[in-house]
Amino acid sequence: MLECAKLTKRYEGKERAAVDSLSLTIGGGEIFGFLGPNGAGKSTTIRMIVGLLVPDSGSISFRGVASTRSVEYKKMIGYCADEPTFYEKMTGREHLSFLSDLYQIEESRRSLRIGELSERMLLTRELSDPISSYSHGMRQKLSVIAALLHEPKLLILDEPMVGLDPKASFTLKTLLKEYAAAGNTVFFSTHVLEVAEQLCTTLGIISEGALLYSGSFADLRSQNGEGQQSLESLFLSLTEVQA
Amino acid sequence: MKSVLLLIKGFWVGTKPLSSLVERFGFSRSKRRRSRPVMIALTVLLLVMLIYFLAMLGFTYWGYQTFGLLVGKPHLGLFLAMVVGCIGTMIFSFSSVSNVLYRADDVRFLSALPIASHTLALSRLAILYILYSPLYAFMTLPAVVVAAWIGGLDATFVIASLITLLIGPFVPLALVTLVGALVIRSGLAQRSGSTSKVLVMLLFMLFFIALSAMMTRFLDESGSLAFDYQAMVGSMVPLFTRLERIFSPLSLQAKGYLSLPPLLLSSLLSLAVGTLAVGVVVKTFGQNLSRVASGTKWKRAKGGVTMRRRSPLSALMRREAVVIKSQSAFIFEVVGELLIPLILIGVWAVTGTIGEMATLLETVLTLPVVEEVIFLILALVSNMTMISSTSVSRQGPNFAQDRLYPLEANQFVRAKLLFHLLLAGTANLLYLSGALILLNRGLASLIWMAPLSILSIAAVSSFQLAIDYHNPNEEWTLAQHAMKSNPNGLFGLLVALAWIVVAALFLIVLPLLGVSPLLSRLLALLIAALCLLFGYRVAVSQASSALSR
Repeated sequence: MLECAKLTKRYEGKERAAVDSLSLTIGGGEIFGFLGPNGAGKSTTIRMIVGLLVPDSGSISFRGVASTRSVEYKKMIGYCADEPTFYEKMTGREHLSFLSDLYQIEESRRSLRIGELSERMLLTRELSDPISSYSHGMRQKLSVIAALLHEPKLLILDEPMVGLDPKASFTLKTLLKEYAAAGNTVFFSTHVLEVAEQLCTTLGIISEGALLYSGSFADLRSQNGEGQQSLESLFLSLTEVQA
Repeated sequence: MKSVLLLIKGFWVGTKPLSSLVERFGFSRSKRRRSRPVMIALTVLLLVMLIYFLAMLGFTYWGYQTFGLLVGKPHLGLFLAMVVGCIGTMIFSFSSVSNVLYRADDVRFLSALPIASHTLALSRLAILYILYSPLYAFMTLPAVVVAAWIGGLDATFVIASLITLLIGPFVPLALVTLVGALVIRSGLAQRSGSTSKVLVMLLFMLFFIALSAMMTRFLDESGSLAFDYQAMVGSMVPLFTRLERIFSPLSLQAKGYLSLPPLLLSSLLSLAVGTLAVGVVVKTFGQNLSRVASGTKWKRAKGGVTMRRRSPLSALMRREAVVIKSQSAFIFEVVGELLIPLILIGVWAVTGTIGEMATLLETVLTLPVVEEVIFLILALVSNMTMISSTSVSRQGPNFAQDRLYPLEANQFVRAKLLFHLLLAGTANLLYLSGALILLNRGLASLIWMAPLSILSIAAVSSFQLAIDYHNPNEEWTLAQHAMKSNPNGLFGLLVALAWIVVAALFLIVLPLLGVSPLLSRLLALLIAALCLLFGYRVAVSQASSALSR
């Protein structure tokens, strides 16, 4: 279970906190969709959860491990950044092999995982090419494979669908469902509300650093009491009230 | 013209080159709180070094300017300054030309905007001029000051100084941009990527060595580095006459300080050469941009990449090599640093000063601490590197990934240290063995030299790593900013120098004071081991804080 308690992060020189006292609990087997307008604090929250940013206050723990800086915590998470960066002169396979070494994945296991994931993400042929020759979508695919390679218990993806072709996008959605079904936790941010609606078991809506809602889509609908409202209209009404 | 100015302004506001440099020296608000005294001390040290360098240049120019008066060449110091400024600007700007003109991130997005190709080209050329004209001024201004001091100031001199400062960088920058444009146009840059850049850079190096040969051959004949004017008259005048023939436009430029006609002629010449080169660059700019955007031709890796499991340490060490190979500027810097002794021998051989060096060596061989001197010279050479002091900076934005890997800070530090040792330590051991064999000293001395060499290189490297982890440059857009123009590299060199002074105290001063060589070597080993322990701890602590920032 991922638990964030009263997370606050304020950037130097900014009056408003990027994330203000945000609390969240996401259980195993859940796919959590993190929604919010641009600049709402989604990426800051994600960067705190993966340990790239230290919160000013509050705490984060996953499966009882409270330090996002600890090796134990890092081993449990897989992260796909919104703008993934790579060592451009490595080939895709070299990059994955390098990560396998750092995560100490067994030889037989790594070959299997790389083969299986690259096949599903339609990147097998390109794995022998230098990353510098990859298109945006190919980089995104490689980043997804890299995040899943060591079979993390918590998978965090920041805008993973951006740049993916329809087939890869469909495959990723299927992968995420399978992954969550195996008892793992998936946390992803997106601006594509249809994806969130189809895929997520729970939703979080953030605006101006504050979490406006956390729960299931059905609960969100019933709270707003208007029958069959789409997520889009609910999202807009929630964030407009906040603005 | 308005659009060109707008683009230059955009570059200036967007990259803030000056304030970025100030920040790199640790004077940003957040850094000020952290370690202000250290930063002030380091800045003072840097300023002292800068002033020292300027004074050295001034002193050299003064010698030649005075000598020129004696032999009827009153512009001699100025002429040499023009040559140094011209060649220096060419060498230093070469590795940036392709980046500034064609490959920078902002060029990519600007080329998609409704801006005429020639407007964009002119703005990039102007940016290159703004970035490198201060360097030209730095190398030539001491000569101008010295010449004014010796010959006095008049209106012609003042006008010539201003015009030359403005127009002087035109020719070297024009030539370099021309070469850059031709390399891209020929397809060489696309076919062989970084190899071609290194190749062209090597050509410049050879040119520089040839120039040194012409300039220093005389010194060998006179046998003195001091300004022995009597001895200089006979042999140096023909040399300078030859040099003036080769660099006649620069000679004309220097003569322009003393009378108006050469000034006008040289300015017109510079403008003509500059305009011609600018014309070619502007004309080919659009096509060259497209060539660069189509990317370097790459080969698909043959066969599978090994899936053999490596330790994280080994994987991180291999990663260091990948980072260096990713930029020709890094390759050139590292290879150059590792091959310094061989390059020096090459320069001495070409310049004809190797005989003088051999004589100097014969004197050294008579010293009671000859082995220690050899060790210290080679230790100095092997420690004067930026491999570790810019190691984190070289990773650039990718350094953020290290924060995600399930590894402790000490694993990163150990990998970087071992990688440094693998390069600098191996080279140093080879040089030591070679020197001992060539000097018929026998390899027995390696018993103390090898461990001391490894310990001292590791100790210096750990402090250099600590420096880079303390304030890494993660946001560079030009590779030069990560290594060659990174202040951390300079601070790292200061650490290396400090270590050599300490080692010399133990290895040379103590034996001269009567302490047995064995004891002094043991003490040096002990102090190196202690430095390594301390340096390693500092590096790990800095790495921990950098990885959790």
